[in-house]
Amino acid sequence: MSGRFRWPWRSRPMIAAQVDEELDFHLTMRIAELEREGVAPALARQRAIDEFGDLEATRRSCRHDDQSSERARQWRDRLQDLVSDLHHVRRAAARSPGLATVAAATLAVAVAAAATVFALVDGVLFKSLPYREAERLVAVFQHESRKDAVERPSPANFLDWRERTTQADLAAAEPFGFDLLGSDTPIALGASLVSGGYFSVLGVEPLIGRDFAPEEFEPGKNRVVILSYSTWRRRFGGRPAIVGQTIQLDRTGYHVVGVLPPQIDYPDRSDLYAPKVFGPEERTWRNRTYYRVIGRLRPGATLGTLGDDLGRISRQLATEYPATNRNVSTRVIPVAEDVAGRVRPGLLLLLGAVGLATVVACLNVAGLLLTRAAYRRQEFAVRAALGAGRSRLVRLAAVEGAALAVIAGVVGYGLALLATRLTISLAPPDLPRLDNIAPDGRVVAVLAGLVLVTAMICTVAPAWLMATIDDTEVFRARGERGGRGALRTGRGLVVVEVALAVALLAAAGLLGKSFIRLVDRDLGYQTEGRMLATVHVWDRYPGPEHVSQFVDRVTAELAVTPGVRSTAVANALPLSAEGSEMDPPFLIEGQPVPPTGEEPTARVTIVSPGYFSTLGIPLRHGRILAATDHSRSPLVTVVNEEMARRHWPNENPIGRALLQLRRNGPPVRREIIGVVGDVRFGGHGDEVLPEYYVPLPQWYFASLTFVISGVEGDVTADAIQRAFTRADPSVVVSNFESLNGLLRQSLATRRFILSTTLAFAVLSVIVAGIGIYGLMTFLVTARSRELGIRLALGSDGRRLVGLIARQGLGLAALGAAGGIAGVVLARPLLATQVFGVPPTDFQILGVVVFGALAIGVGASLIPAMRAGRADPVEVLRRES
Amino acid sequence: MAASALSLFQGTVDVLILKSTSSGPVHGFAISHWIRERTNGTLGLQDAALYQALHRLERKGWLESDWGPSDNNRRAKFYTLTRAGRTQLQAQTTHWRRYAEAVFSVLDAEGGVVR
Repeated sequence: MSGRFRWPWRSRPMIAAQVDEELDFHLTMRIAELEREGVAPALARQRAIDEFGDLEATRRSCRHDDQSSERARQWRDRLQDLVSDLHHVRRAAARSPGLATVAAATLAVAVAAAATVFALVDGVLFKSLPYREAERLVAVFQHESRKDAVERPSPANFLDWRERTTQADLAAAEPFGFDLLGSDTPIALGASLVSGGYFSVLGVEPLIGRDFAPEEFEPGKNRVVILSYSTWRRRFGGRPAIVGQTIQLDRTGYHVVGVLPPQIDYPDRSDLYAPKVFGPEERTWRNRTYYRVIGRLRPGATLGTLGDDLGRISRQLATEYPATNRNVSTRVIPVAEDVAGRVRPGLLLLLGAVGLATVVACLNVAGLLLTRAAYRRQEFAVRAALGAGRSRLVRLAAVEGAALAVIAGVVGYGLALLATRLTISLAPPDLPRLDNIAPDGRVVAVLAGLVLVTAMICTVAPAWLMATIDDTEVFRARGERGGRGALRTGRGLVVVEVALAVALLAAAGLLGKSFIRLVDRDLGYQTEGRMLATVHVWDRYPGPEHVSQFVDRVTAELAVTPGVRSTAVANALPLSAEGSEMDPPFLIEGQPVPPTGEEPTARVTIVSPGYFSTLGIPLRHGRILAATDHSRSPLVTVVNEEMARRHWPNENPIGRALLQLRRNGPPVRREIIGVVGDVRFGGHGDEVLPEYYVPLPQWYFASLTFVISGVEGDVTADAIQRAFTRADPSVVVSNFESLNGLLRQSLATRRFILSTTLAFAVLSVIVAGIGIYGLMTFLVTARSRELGIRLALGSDGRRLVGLIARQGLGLAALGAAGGIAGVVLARPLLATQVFGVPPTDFQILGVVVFGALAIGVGASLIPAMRAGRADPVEVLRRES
Repeated sequence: MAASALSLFQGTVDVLILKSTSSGPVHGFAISHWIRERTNGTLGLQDAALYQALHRLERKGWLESDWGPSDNNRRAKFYTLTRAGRTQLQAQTTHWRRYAEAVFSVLDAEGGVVR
């Protein structure tokens, strides 16, 4: 095919024989010459040999040289073949540019999508954490069976676990806040107060400086801090000299002893760390759950042995402290799962979606190449008959596939680089460890594997087809150029494609429908134009009355701030907090007392009078809290409808009372004065829970969140901070956000997964449509002779269109049925992401199936009409 | 082989072979014969060295070979100069000329070095 004559390749024995022949020729000629000169024939031979020199060495040297020239020639020939193959492929691509473009583009997009999603999932799920032996690092939670809630551990429980367990070293961190002074405005920093040995349990060594010393966990010696890397860079300019200096936190001098390496954000992102000194009172708290507890398995221990050991300790504690620990057990979770667990099902779904889309794309390209190969069957048979080696033909197909894969791989990798960057900017902020996302070496390795597999699929099919060609059969069956086997395979591929696309589209549809269902659910409060500002008043205001006075001053200042309509305050606001950390158990006055440890609890929110009107929570019965409910007036509460339903079914709760249980002293009686509407505290995904509200002056809480109703954009963080500064110059707003923004964030992961899945689903459907179109075009072309005869014999063109379109419809229907079966099989995975919609929702499945059928007909309509419009004379002339 | 035959450097063998193939396909025996005749056997070119050089030059791509009938209709291996070989021949010829001229310019001078 190179167009030039070429010697066949020589084997070793052939080379040896040729060298022998050449040398033999020389000796023969020389002997004859010597004889002509008069040398006796008997002597002539010996003389010629003597004269020649070292005959054997020459033989060896010549053979050796010839073998290496032969090898060089073979490589040259192969390269030439490859070049000519590539030319051939280029010419073939130029003949049908549409097909080549569709195939390369389909693969490139599939590769890009796969690489991007893999980078995302790899970064979030699989990449090792920046901690020494992260696989031995665990998180420990406590489980409260009454609430069926996994909670943060309480200080007393943590201390007992740490003392009693033999399987792991445990450490705890308490979330805390500091105001960093020293610049014009104080800066609010998030801090963690950590127990002894925290960093060695975490498996992190300070980048600069040292870890806390054991004596620094004693009272009075704990004025030391370790900075996070980002705080060090941002607040202290990354100066190593900061270690050893003193910084002002809450007007107290703290000695900086170290700086952590970057990306240490487990269990919580923290700006700085200080030693935790457990006070005598705190050591007894068992029902205040606010610690993060981590553990490092000791040598020989496993997740299982630690779980058993902590289980044993929990049972001991349940006997020792039945009032608080009766229903408390422990949960041990590997750190990687804790970090990624929340988003894991969603990401796996995404991985599944992109996997399916990629498979659809590969099947499609294989189908396109296969049908075209069948179409070119006769061409190949002619080539074979003219002497093109069968292996050469197969290799040609392989080169074609490889070229396709290389183009798709390179273009796809480029696209993946762009897409990864785009994904990082679009991804929801609550996806953990996003900084790790980049298509790195391992991602590229997976990509290369993908491209290779694709190349295999695309080349093996046509190569296999070539190998089954029977020349004579091909020439005899001239009219039906399509091999029946190839056709069957092509049909099968299209059906599988449609099935996968349908399954994917159905999954996306279910996600979409459940998303709509979800956001349709009433939150119970308004988010539009509502903003929140959080301040910590810790030790500035020692009692509830002082806090109330501060709140009054701030409220007055905010009232005159432009754009502000109304203001209220609470200890925690919906969407912004995990909830109150101290929900005491209570009894219902006048109802039977449940056994100790089984008293009900409910979320308590401490609110100012304007809370309900500012958030738009409706009053159902009674009255709401008022300014007259102050610290010296009778203790009152407002409950939500769910609480009223649960504890006073078929009764009016107004005038009834709860008895809040306290550790020391008699229960606190609170009279119910009103019932308000239910709220979904954490956003649309949350269920309604029993809740009650108590007036701010009647309960002390040191962290206040102000909710401001006003005009977003007019009310700025600066304006709010100025209002607070006028009320108390030392108070810092640590967080200012809009509830609408928080609501969007709470939905961001779902929205991200939904839109990405939908995008892949649509992509797959389009690809499957192209597949049907390609197959039908091939069918029509392959059967053009038969169709021409039918037309010539008076067949109606419209009937032919129907015939072809029905075939497309049939393929789509078969595929759709397969897809539905797939959805039914994938129900367990879907159920984790689908909300309020059964995974086999008939409406969605119906729409998807209808869509698939429509695409089946649509994709076959263009080739069908072409067949119907064909001029029979023209068709038959072309064919004969 | 004449006793007075001069020994040859390897590079010399190469350039002689290239020259002998420069006017058309020729087989090893003919090259051997031609060089012997041209130099009256002055140059001690052993046939062993000749054939080893032929194959080495073919490997280098300066010669290419083909089988064909010889004058007496026997199958013989004929060597042809390639384009690369021709370039090489010109380069080496120039080199040899300059070398020889330099040597002669010294040898042709009157007397020796005067101290």
